[in-house]
Amino acid sequence: MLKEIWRERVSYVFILPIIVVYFVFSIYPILTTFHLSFYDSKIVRLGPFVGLQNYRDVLTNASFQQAFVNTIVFTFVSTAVILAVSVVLAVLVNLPYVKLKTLFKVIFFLPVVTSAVATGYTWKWMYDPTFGIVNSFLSLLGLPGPNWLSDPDVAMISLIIVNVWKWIGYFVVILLANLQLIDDDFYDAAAIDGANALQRFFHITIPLLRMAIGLCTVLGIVAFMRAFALVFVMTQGGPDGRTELMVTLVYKEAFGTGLLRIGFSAAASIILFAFIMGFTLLSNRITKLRV
Amino acid sequence: MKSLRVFLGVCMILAVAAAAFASGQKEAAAPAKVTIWYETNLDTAIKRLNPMFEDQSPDIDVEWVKQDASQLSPKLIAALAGGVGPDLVIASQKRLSPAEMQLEAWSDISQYMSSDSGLASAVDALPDSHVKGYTRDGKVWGLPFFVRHVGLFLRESWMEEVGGSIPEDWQEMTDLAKKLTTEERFGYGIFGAAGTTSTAGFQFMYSAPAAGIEYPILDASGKPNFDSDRAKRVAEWFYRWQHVDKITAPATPSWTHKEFYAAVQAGQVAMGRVGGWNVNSWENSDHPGKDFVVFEYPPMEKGQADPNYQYTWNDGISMQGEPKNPQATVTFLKFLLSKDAQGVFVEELTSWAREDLEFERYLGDNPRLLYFARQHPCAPDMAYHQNFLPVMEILSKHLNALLADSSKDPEQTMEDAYEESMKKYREIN
Repeated sequence: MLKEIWRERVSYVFILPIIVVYFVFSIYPILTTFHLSFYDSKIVRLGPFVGLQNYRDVLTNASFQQAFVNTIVFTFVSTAVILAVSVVLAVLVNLPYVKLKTLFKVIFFLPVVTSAVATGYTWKWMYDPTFGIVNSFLSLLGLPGPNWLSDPDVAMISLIIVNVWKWIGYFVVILLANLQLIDDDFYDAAAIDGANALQRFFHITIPLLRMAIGLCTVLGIVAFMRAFALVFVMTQGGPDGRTELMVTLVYKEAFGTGLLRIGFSAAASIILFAFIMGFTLLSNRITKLRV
Repeated sequence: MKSLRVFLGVCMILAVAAAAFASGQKEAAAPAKVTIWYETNLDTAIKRLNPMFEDQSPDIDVEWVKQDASQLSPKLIAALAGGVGPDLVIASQKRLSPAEMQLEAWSDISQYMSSDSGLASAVDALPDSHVKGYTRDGKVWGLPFFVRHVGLFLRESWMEEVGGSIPEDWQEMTDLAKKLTTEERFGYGIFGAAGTTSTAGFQFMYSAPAAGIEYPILDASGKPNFDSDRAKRVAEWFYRWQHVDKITAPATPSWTHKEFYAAVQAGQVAMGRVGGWNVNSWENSDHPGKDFVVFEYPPMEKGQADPNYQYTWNDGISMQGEPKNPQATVTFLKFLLSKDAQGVFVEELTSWAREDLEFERYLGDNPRLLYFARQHPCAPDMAYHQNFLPVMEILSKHLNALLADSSKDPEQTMEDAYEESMKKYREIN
């Protein structure tokens, strides 16, 4: 192996800068956070060593428990809805008689490149129960509009809708690229055997998209478990803590209350990191088992 | 060859000498530099202040750096601890206090006051109760820079349309708001979001003093102070406004002050909180324009035993423990607290701290502005205390839930909030 590295040394020199950047901005902060989680740390003072006390405080904290459940709901519902809708959209855009495929891709992708803060503020006003465009549209259809961000039973759903709207284009593009790699012969053979459109979708398209769907699942879980901006802008974790996510709680404990509970927040971050890693590995394993 | 070497050697010596000379000149000529961070929109005032200060102290360069308020506290702490913090900061007291509570990062201004009579007399002109809020164990770690009185505004023409008058208690306020509530607007606007600032807890902080609670959030020792029957009655009124009388916006539980301001300036709110800093911008917009009166938050009921305190908070100015140039920094601090500079802030921002300014000169006969120059019974601001934000977070969460969910009981809400706050209080202290 060393001989191979030496032989390719020039290549390694070229990738060295990005490795250094990755280490400085990703690996080092993770290791430092892990280290801080064992101390009663303030922002620039390490503080006394407290062992696992921070982890115990986090796991027994009622707000954290609620935030954990909220995060799981937000992550998995968003991912499931995005996957379902983006597969359908990708299949529709990929139909042979659909023209202007690139235009559709751009339209779906536009929300992805829009700032999360701008998205949050705009949707907050769209959701206004009295003057917002959403309830105005629903009233035209004769439907009652809920208190989207102020009703504890509806607020999380409201955030998920915005999250799905924002990220669906990203997954459509990935799935569409993979759809276009599927050989038409599979569909032709199925058509000859008498399979209808739905059967071709479930028995050819979905199985052949499995790896892409697996990738999208992992990407979705990793991204949405770390969601922050939408919640921070739209609900600040309310009403009644029903939209508090783990990341917003970590931020509040670290910076929001002036107590600078860095050790506590570091422990919460490590717990979140462990969950994300766990779900990612599980997801990868499930995807590989079924191939 | 030898002559070439001699020539090159002479050139090098001359070059080094010239560089040393230039560097010495540069050091001798370099003005002292003062860096000041700020979070509020002071830009119009800064444009006027810079030339004023330059005339007075041409040997001091001032660098104004605007910071995002939501990031200021952690940025400040990190910068101060890293030795690269600003010399001065103007910010809300609750954002200055963590640096003092956690790092004791600010200078003791009293040590400069004893040798600088100009600074001492400027401090004398500041409200005592607010200067005390920046004093900890004898150390004056900051000074009030803008003292922010808060009142209520009411759309004048709308009030006249319904034959109403300035309310004298909360029942009258509610009855008037009900008359003013239509499909297009809300009679009373409050903000009810969860969180630490500009939230349901802050709305409580404005309303409860008017009900006679002098210390609405923390008592003078820093202990949570909303377990009284009176505090529970304030919560009951919040519940009534939101769920029974329905004079507030349905979206109130998600409103911070930003959404509240947007609603006011969209002509959707008839009555609500106003500060002196709002008046100019509101007068220059379509809504409310000049069509509003400002009055004291009335007492909860007529004949109330305790005064209807008006909540007053402040933005402060603090000087870091090791400024680059202490003398230049104190000179600039003194300038900012001078009558002339504070007069600029009055004119540009309707904000000030000194009590000895000629308000009529700056504010004219605008009754909406002159309201804020008058004395009102004050509820002291405990934002400097380390318990303030954590307790506010908890109170806001519970009040936010009360505003969002009509099945919640106001009394139980306050009891739960108090219990959780006391747990946090014991944890911190």
